[in-house]
Amino acid sequence: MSMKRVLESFCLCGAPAGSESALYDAARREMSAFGTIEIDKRGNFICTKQGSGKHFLLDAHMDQIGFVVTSIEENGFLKLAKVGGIDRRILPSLEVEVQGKERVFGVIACKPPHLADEKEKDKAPKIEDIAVDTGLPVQELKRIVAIGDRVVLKPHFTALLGERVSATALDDRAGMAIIVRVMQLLQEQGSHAKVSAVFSVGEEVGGKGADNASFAATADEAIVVDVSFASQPQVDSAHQNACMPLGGGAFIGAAPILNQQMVKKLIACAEKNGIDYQVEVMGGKTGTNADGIATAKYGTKTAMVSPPIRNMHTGVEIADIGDLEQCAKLIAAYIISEEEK
Amino acid sequence: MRYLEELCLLGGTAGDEGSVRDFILSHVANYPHTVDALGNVIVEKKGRKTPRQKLMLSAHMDEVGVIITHITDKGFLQFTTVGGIEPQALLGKRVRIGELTGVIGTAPVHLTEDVSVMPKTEQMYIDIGAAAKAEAMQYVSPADRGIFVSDYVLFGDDCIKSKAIDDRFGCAVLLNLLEKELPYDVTLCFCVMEEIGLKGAGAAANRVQPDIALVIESTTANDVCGVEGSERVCVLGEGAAVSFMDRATVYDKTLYTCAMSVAQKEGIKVQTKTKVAGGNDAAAIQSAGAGAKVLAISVPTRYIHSASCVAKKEDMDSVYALVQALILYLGEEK
Repeated sequence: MSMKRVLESFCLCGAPAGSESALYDAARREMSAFGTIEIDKRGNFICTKQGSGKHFLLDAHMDQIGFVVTSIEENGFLKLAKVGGIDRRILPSLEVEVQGKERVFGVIACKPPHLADEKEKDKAPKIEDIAVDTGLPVQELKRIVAIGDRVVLKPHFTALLGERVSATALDDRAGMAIIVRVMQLLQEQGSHAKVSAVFSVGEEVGGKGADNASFAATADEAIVVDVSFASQPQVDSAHQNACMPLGGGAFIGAAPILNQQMVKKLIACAEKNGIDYQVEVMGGKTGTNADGIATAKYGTKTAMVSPPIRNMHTGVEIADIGDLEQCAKLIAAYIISEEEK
Repeated sequence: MRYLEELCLLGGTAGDEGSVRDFILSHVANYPHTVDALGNVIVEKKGRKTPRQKLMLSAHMDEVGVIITHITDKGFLQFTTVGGIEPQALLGKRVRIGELTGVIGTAPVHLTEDVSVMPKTEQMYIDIGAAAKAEAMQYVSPADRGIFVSDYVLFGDDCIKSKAIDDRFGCAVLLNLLEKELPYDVTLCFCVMEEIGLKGAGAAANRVQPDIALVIESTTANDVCGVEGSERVCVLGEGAAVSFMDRATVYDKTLYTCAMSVAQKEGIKVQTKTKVAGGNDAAAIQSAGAGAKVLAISVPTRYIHSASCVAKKEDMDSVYALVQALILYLGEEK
C-alpha cells in the first residue's frame, strides 16, 4: 500500500491515550508481513523482525490528543477534560466522536462569546466552558455513554494540493506510517538487522508506554519517530528558527539526551543518500518518547527523526507525504549501514 | 423537510448565490417567476383565492463564508468573512474554495506564548497546501469564495447538523409550499445578500409590494450547557420561534399575537424568541416601498454561522405547519 493510504487508515482510527487498542487492527494489517506481533502489558504494539545483526528499536506513539467525559448533564450535554494538550482555541463547533458503547456523533458547544464577561470576551474558551452536544435525551445518553469514556475530534483525512494532506492525529500516525515504510524498505533490501518496531501508548499524557517497551527490548540503538514543527506564518520570529519548511525533508534531532554519534551518522547518511534534512536542536530533553527510551533499564543509544507538520494539536494538522518518505529512507539507510555488529 | 439536504450542501455566499438560485429555478419553472437585477427569485404561487392583503413569504439564499483577499508569497490565503463569523468558528476548520479544500490553521500551542488569546480573523490564513504563491495562483484568485466543509448529518434525537441551515431551511419551506395546494395566493421570494446587511430583500419587496410579509428564517438557539432563561434566545424542541423584536425590526404586534393564537388553536408548537438579538430581512421588507407588516418565524438553530449548525426536524415541521396555517388565517383578513 502507498504511504498515503497507510497514513489515511491510521488517521481514521480515533485512539486517544487509554484507547489505543482502536489502532491494533490497522497496525496488524500493515505490520504482520514484517515480523511477529505482540501486545505487551502496557498495550504497546510491538512487531519484531528477527535478524542476526544489531538490534534497533523504532518507536512512534499511537495515542492522539482528545478528551474524557467527566459528567453527563441533564440537557444531554457532556462535560469534558482534556487527554493531552489539545488546542482549545479551535474547539467551538467542531465535530466529535464519543466512544461510548456505540459511537455517538456530537458537536462542541461553547457558551456564546457575547454572554461571557467583558474580560473573557475575546479569549479562547476554557475547557470548563465547553460541552459536547449529542442531541440525545439524557436517559438515552446515559445508556450509551459513561463517565470516563473517550472523545476524539471526528477523524478525517483531507487531500490538499500536491502530496500534502490535512488530517486528525498526524501526530503521531505520521510516525507510524514512516515506520511501516522503513520495515518495507528493510525487507526489500534484505536487511539482517533485528528490529523491534514499537507503536507505543500514552505519549500525549506522559504515560510513557515506550519506556516499558524499551526496557523489555534492550536494543542496541533506538530511533524515535515523532512529528515536529513546520514553519507557518503565525509562528512568531523567536520560534521560526525551530521550524522547518513543510516539504523540507526530515528533521534530525540533536539534544544532550540523544546519542551524538548516532546524530552525526544520521547526518552523514542523509548527505550520502541525497536526503533533505534539517537538524533540530534542543537544549536538554526532547519532550518526546526519546527521553524515556534513552534512559530505560541500562540505557539505550537514542536518536530522533521527525517529519515537520503544521497546526500541531489541532484537528487540521498538515503533513507532506514527501517528507514522510524522506524520513523513512533516512532511517532505513541508517539501519542498513549500521546493522553489522 | 424535502430539498433541505440538497440546499444545505450547495455553496452560496452573499453575492455569489448562483448555484442555490439555479437549484431553485429548476423547481419553479412551471410558475410565473422573475429574477431581478440583484438575483432575487420572485415566484407567484396561485392559491384557491386571492387575498385582500397581499402576502409575501421570504427566505434568503446566501450563507456565511469567506472571501480570499490576498495570496502570500508562501502560498497562504488571506481572507475576510462574508457575513458575521466569530474567530473561534473559523480557527481549525476546513473550507472549500471551488474544487479545493483548505484549512484554517494556527501556530501550534507548543510555540504560542498565551493560548488564551484568540487570534483575530485578519491574522488567520487558509492553507491549501501550496508550496508557494505561484502554485496557489494556479488554483485560487483573490475574490474567490470559501464555504465551510460540513456534511449533512442526522444525529441524536431527530437532530440535523449541517452548514447553511441559515437560511436554506427557509428556502426549503418555500419550495415545499410551492408544491402544495394553498388556500390563497402568495408571492415567494428567495433573496440574496441577507448576511451582509439585508441587501437583497428590499428590492424584492419594492417589486412585490406586499401588505404582509412572513420571513422564514433560522435563528440563534443558545440553549447550551450553562445558559439559563431568556439568554437561551430559543430552545431546540420547543417549536417555531416567533420574534416580537430583534436588533433590526420591531415586528407587527397584531401579527405576532395572531401567530401565537393560530399556533395554539392548531396545536402547533411555538415559542417566543426571548432575546432582542440578531436581525433579518424583515427589517428591509418592512421599510421598503410603502411599507409592510412583517413577522419572522424561525427554526431554532444552535451554533449558527458556523460549520456545524444544529437544528431539530420537529421544529422545522412546526415552522412549516405554522406558515401554512397563517396563510389561511391571514388570507381571510379583511
